[in-house]
Amino acid sequence: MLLEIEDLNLRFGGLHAVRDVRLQVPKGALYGIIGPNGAGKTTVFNLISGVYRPDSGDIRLEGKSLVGLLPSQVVARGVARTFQNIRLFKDLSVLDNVRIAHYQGAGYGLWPAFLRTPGVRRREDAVTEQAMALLEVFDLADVALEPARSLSYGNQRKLEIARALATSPKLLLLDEPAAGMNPAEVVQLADLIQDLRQRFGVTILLIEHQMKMVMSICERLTVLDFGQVIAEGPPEEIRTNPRVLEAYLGRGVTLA
Amino acid sequence: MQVQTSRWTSRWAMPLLVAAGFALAWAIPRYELINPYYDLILMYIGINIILTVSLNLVNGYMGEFSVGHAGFMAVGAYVASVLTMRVIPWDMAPYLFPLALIGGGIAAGIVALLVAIPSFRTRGDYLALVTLALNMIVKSVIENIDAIGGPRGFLVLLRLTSLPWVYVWVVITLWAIRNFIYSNPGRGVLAIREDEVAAELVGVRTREVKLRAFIISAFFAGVAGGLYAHLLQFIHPRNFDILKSTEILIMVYLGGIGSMMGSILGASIFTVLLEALRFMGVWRMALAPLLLVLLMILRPTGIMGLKEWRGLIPLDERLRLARLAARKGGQARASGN
Repeated sequence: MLLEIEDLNLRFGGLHAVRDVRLQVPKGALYGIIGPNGAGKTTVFNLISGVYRPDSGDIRLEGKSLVGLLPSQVVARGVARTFQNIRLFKDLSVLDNVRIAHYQGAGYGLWPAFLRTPGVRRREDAVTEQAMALLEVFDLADVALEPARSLSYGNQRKLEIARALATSPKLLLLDEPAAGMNPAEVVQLADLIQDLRQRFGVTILLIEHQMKMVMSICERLTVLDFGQVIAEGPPEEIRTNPRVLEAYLGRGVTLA
Repeated sequence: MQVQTSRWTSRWAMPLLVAAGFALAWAIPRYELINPYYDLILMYIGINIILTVSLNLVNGYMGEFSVGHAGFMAVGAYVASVLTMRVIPWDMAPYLFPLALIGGGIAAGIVALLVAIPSFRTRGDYLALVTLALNMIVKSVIENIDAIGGPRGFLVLLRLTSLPWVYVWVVITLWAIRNFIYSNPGRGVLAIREDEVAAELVGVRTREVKLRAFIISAFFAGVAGGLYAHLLQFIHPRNFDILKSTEILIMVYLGGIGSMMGSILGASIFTVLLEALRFMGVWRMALAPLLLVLLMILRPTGIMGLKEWRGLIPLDERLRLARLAARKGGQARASGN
């Protein structure tokens, strides 16, 4: 297992936002978390990435606990993420958005930076080349010098994924990557996500509302409702699980 | 051929400009090329450039709001003065002056470290309060240390600050902060301004970045304080009160946040303006806050706001971006930061 979550709990005052959540994501998987609004999906992401600290339970990546680490330390362990509401560095260039994600991997310290030694200049060349190579994959190389805010919505989503991948993660958390995209863009995105897994050898855990996409690309799903896991299994099982249908869509409905 | 020529020009343009500037800074007092009064104003402009660029690092590039820059300046001024007056033998002082300034800068940096750690959890308004308090505390502490004159002030008998020294320190400050901002550790500073949470979540160790930016900023404020003390030759806790901090803030926002060229312009324009309005007496002090208010309404980004003059971007970075622009056939658009 790459990621193991055990009996995770988090309360916000009287609200039990995450209750005894368990999750097992195997290495190389494309795994989905679904659930109605307010089910605690993003909260689980915030717990994994170190934004929140759980009240109890454990989160382990390759057997080592992530609990109590700062978000930047979680990134160093190999977990990267995107955001439901896009959080790019809007006034900076597309290139700099990606180069910033090399913060821990650029390989030189403060004093060489002050002196701008030949070594620093070489490392900057290398970081820039790596960033550009990543932007090529996402068809964003042509706009590398434009400010991030000038990109279309779909491209901003792609840039967020590129920025996350620049940290060389083992596990990539995608928080509603298809939100706000039109159907054609969603199809493209589904292809892209599957392609990323092959190309970067990264395990992907995604939260999504677009049922069609989740069902078609994820190998396994966990369904959350009111902070609890109500079902877990492959999409075809989830599709017909009565508890899921009830929680997600109400009684008497079948998923397409 | 065309490319080679332009390469050569861009390679040597800045070093030549800097060298020419130094020759001028050396020649002006040596041959009395201009009225000593103008010489003095040039030195004030230089000191103010150091103060403005260093504060811009925290307030402009990093997007925090530190309002007590004069506090760090005071620490540097007093420590450097004590070093030249009490520690370093007098006949050696002119030669060891740079060391005294660095000592003042380091002392200011240590104070910044002490402030930065507890204010990690504070942002925005709270950080403003912490730095405001620091400014007041530094002033009170100095007023209560009798050994350095307390509220009577401290006499600095040696006028060690000269135009060439000021010039050299302006160049060092611009060079160091430029190199920092356009490096990997410095990009973290911009990321914090844009979105601190996202910065941390793409691996930027934000605490480390903030600590570094604070210390670098305070170090240069301390150096500027040392230069100021050895120009004025008499320093007083009141020289470093909130009003002084306000002036530095105005210079930052007048010139524009996140721009070194902006800080150079802001410091120059404000210093000259304040001198030109000397006939107004105390009323000119009312001008500063008024200017700040007008600025915020009419041009909140300042003169240069987030734009940089090409010459202040490291050559290798400029060439790198130009190569990318050419490779993609896109237009070479100078990116803000």
